Amino acid sequence: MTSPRPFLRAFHLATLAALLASPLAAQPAAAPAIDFLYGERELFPSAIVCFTADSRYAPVDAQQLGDPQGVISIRLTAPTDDCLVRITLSETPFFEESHVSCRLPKAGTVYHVAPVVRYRAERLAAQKQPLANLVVRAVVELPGETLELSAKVVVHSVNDAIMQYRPRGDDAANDWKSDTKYILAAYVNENNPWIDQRVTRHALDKKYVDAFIGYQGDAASVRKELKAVYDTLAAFGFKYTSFKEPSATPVNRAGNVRLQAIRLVGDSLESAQASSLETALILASVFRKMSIDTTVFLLPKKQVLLGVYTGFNHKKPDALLVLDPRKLGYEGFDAAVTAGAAAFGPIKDKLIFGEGEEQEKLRHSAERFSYLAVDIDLARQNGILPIPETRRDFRSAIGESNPNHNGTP
Amino acid sequence: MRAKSAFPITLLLAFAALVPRTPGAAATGPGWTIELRYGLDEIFPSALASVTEASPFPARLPGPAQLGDPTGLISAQLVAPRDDCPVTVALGATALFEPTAVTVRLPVKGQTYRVAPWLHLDHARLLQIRQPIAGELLSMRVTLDGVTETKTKEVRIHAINDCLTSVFQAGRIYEVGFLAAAYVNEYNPDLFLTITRHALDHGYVSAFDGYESGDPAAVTRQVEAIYRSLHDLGFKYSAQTQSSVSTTKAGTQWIRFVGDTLISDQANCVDGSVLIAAILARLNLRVVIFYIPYHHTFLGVYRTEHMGEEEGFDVVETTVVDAKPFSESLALGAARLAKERANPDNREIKVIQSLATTELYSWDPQNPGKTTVFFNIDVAASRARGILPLAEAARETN
Repeated sequence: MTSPRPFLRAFHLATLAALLASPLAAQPAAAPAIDFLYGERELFPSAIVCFTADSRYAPVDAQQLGDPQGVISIRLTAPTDDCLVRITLSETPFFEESHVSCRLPKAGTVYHVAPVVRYRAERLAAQKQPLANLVVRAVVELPGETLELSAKVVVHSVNDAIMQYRPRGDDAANDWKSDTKYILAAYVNENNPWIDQRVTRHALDKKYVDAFIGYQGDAASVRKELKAVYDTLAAFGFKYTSFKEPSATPVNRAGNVRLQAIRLVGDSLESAQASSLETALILASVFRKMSIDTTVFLLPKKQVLLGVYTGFNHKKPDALLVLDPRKLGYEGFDAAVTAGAAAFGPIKDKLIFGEGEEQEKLRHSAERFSYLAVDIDLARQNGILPIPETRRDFRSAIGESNPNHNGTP
Repeated sequence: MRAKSAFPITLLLAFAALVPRTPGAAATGPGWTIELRYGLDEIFPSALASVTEASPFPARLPGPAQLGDPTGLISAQLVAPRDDCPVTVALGATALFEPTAVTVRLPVKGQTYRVAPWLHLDHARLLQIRQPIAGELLSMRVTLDGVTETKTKEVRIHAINDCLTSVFQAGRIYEVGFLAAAYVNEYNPDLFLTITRHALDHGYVSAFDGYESGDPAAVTRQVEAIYRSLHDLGFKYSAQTQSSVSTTKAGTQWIRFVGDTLISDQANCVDGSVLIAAILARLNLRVVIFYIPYHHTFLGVYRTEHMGEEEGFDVVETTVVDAKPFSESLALGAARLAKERANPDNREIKVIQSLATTELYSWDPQNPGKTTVFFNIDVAASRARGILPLAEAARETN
């Protein structure tokens, strides 16, 4: 008997190694885990409370079973074809107990299953600071097996706005989704009670205008009302203070979300301090309450302009009055308009107006989303609602004669 | 001016010599024990509420594998009676958390494991613990291989203002003064309502635009505007360092919340540094807190976005806000920093992205030589390393 020839032995070894390495070798399926649609073990209250179920701007995973917009999901591998799974998310201070039952179609395939979570919107909207170590607990029931999963989550401040995100499982460095930038519209809050109680009241008391009639008047009348609001905020003592850093750095610094901190309208009014973007959002809030349409323009280097349409049945460039909100507190209304026009003229062709094909074209251009026009009315129509503010947000000054503590105006 | 330590380091060192070097070594026999991941029989709400899993604290050290919550504070330490043995650990409700339980399988017979349930913290309650709780009872129920047994352990709960500054773990003392970053609460709305508003109303600056002007002098003017505002508002030095619980088992320091400092207009070196750091951090300025355990705290501010001290760096001594002009505060701060850095026995620990656990020990039974460290706590980096600001409950006065 002779020993096997060396090449034959090598062949046998290689075959064995190939078998071990093949997908058919006994590889345990990845254990079920709690997963998140964006961010990593993070909840972003602003996105949760502002996007409607049919919003075209909300992050979504069409392949996700249950709620395609569901932020919290369970990632699991189907053990059998047509496998029934039931998932329960336990109650936390931010949402009630929530369930989903569905069937996983194909054995061996990885699925994300997300319950439609019953969020407590008021709690989320009142979250003004980051919160560490919220425990999210899920019970996963599969045929013959029940699993409990837990994960510690950071809850961001409602001030943290998701400006861009990278879809789950996509490691391509440049495939950032920027639709969420329209979330800026959620920080325009036309429902803030101070708009009525403080801003327009002050303008009327000081006789900056006799009445706010919006588009019932002509373009000159609209412009006069814009000036009245601008002058009112100036009289409140508005000054520029920057405010950009998010409340908690994304868990994964290399990250799949990019954030910007934005003050809510009530907080800006209370302190009479705002960045350029926040000033634009306050003005847009007041004007929207009067049914005057506005568009916030985001430009490179954090420059922000506010466009206001001065005529009804409008949205034509010649009806657009552009303000530079950085001027508030330092220069008058006319100077803000002059500066706005000067900044807007050279770049207006680069701005992404509207949606659809034109936007898609620009989405793939080198300058994609460096220039962005957020039409507030359009954003509302497309499922971005204002972040609610409650009266207790104004605890310090409600009932005082001025919105800030220091005697101005 | 010195932040007197609430506990003497010598006692901590003496105690450290007595504790076993391998965690849980005493529990390797039959039965199981309730263990805390750090400290001994005491809980620090500030650490529970501010530290995320991204933090270098608590240190991940060799020892029994921890199943369930890998960074969980409270665990059952037990020995697996057989391979792949199921165990359920349930923890009863306390003042800090709701009842919780975890079921896992202990992989290997004869091995010691820790099994930690995820604590469902009651954050609202946690953040309002302003006074210590002397005897909170942990009640743990373990079901191991079909047998259920309940044990209890009494622990002390510190006030939320007790900042953990050094801690035992596995027979070592770790300096964790960087947890002071949790008290830098840039989200307190009164920072804008009171301090920056005052500065703007008095024309100390026309705007707080952070680094946007690109002018280092403009950054210094913003810092000075805050300093002058605190002076105008009557801030005085007032030492308040005594921890809520006298302990020889961990290093602690009482730190006021920003809101409390604003109400009382009083601060010691830590409180003042924390307050000004909070304001400047909110204004997008990059600040560091120089925390010298048991001695002093002062503040650094980068004058450009480039983060190099050579690019421009203001060091502010906050304790003289009532008595000396800003220029003298800068001179005092710079002198103190130079003195600390000139001390050859001093080791500066920078809280930056790459901070490793091994950098944190100040006393090790194997290497007893090094005993002095001081922290350069970059507030923004601390956030990136998972130290989040402690939220403040509604004001109790005013």
